[in-house]
Amino acid sequence: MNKILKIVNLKKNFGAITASNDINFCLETGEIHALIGPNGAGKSTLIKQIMGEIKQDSGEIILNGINISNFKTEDRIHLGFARSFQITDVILDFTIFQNVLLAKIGKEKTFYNFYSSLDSIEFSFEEIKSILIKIDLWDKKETAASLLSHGERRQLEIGIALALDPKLILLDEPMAGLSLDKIEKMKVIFNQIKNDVPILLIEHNMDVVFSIADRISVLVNGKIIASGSSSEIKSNLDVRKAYLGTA
Amino acid sequence: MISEKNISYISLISIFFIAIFSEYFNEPYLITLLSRIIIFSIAAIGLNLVLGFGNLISFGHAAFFGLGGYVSGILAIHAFNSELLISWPFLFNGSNNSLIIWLFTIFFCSLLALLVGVFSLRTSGVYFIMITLAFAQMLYYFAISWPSYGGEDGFSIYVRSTFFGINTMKGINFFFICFFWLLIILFITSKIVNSPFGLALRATRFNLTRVRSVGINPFRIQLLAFVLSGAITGIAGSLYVDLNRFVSPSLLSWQMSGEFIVFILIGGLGRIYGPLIGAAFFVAFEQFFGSYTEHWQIFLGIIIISTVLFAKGGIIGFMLKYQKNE
Repeated sequence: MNKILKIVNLKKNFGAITASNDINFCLETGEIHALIGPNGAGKSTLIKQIMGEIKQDSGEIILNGINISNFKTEDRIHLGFARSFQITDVILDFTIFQNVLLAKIGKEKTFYNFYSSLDSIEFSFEEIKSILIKIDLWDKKETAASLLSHGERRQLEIGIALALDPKLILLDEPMAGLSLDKIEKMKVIFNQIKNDVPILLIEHNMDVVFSIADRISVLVNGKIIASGSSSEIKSNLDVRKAYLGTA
Repeated sequence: MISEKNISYISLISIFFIAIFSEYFNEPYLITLLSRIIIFSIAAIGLNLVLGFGNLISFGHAAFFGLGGYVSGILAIHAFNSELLISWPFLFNGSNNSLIIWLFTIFFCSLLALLVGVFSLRTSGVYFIMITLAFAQMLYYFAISWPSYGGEDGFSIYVRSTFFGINTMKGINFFFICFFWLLIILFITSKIVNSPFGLALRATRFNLTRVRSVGINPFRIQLLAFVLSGAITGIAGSLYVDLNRFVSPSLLSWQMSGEFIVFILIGGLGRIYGPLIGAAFFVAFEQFFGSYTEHWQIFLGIIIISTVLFAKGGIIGFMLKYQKNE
């Protein structure tokens, strides 16, 4: 297993409150790694530090061997961080295909090309087709995004994120507001894309977490108290006491 | 079966053949009229690139039309009078060669569009409308107060510029030059609109955050579109001056900018051939009703209002919709 993202001894204090207390954690290729923890455990603070929106007091964040601890958010996005809430809107007047194509054009930096026809640019069709098949929207590729359901728009967002060819995807409560069958569909999609891009998942729905996460890290009071597979976490006494509420 | 493509081709072909017949039946006035339609539609096609596809409501495109006109006129009049235009670092007498005139026009209009774009694209909505208008008005008042080139009265250029030895003073020959330009401009714009750049431009129209988040800088996309648009409208200005052999500040007036917008609205916003249909309709309407009453614009107003209220896709949109309902 290759470590895509590594977090080493990360610390962050807000005055007297310790939001991140010596966090060590990694995201490996091919996995869905869920980060869970009760409200106020410091999940958002951790994500913001990973994205570079707030700066850690000490510790390091390493992406593919590069120390990015002092990189700005834009630079991190450039290096391949894709985050779900930053992509929560799609262009409603474009079709699904065009939405993904636009992302591809941005990624390949072909947006100053005003002489090639959209149908003829080499990268587009096959790559976009494979993305749309992964997110299960290939049949609807010519449908305008404005006609999609909430769940389908979320699928499309993930497609757009994939078109940007990210190194990792941060999904912040991707299942919020989705119906049960849509959640099942999303699970299938996540299981498929994790082989291309590892996913760091923050999710409150424990059924989802336990069914799709390869590893789970539990954050309580700014500290990771346990890390392991679903069954390990389920049976971990500390976790039960601190988080699930039943000892 | 009427499709947008068919409407477009039919209109192109009919303009061409009406011109041929007019020549055959010796109706030079009609040929001039057709040349005017074509020139106006080139100007509006330029505007449509930013207005129709990028949703940038420029109310100052007369600036490019007029600048194209003045650049051409000044080059031509100096060549005609053998007067020095530039004495340093080299001597330059102006030119009456179309190719040189067009090159200068494209250069200066792109430069102006770059300048106007850099400032005005930092704003949006009503502010964008006002700032583009302000730039055009600045040029208008500058032209009025510039006595060397006729000030308020403008100036005549007596002969049309030359193009590969063709007798451009003959109406039909000049019409062919304009028609050729129209084909080139239509080809270029349809190419642009269907390119990756065109998709990015169309995206800026809806959602700037989205565009930024996929790593595209919307400002640069819009600026490039604005420059292309200004250059196209400038070419139209150059042709217009050649057609009338007369340059005047009215080329730069805000009414001119307004008419370009009207052509686009009547023909069909965001459709490549929309401005052509709109300009043809406008000029024909002006001729027809203008011969009955000088208040023909009242009727035009009614048409514009009904277009906005009942036929948002302009004439092309209306025809396509009407057919669907049948």
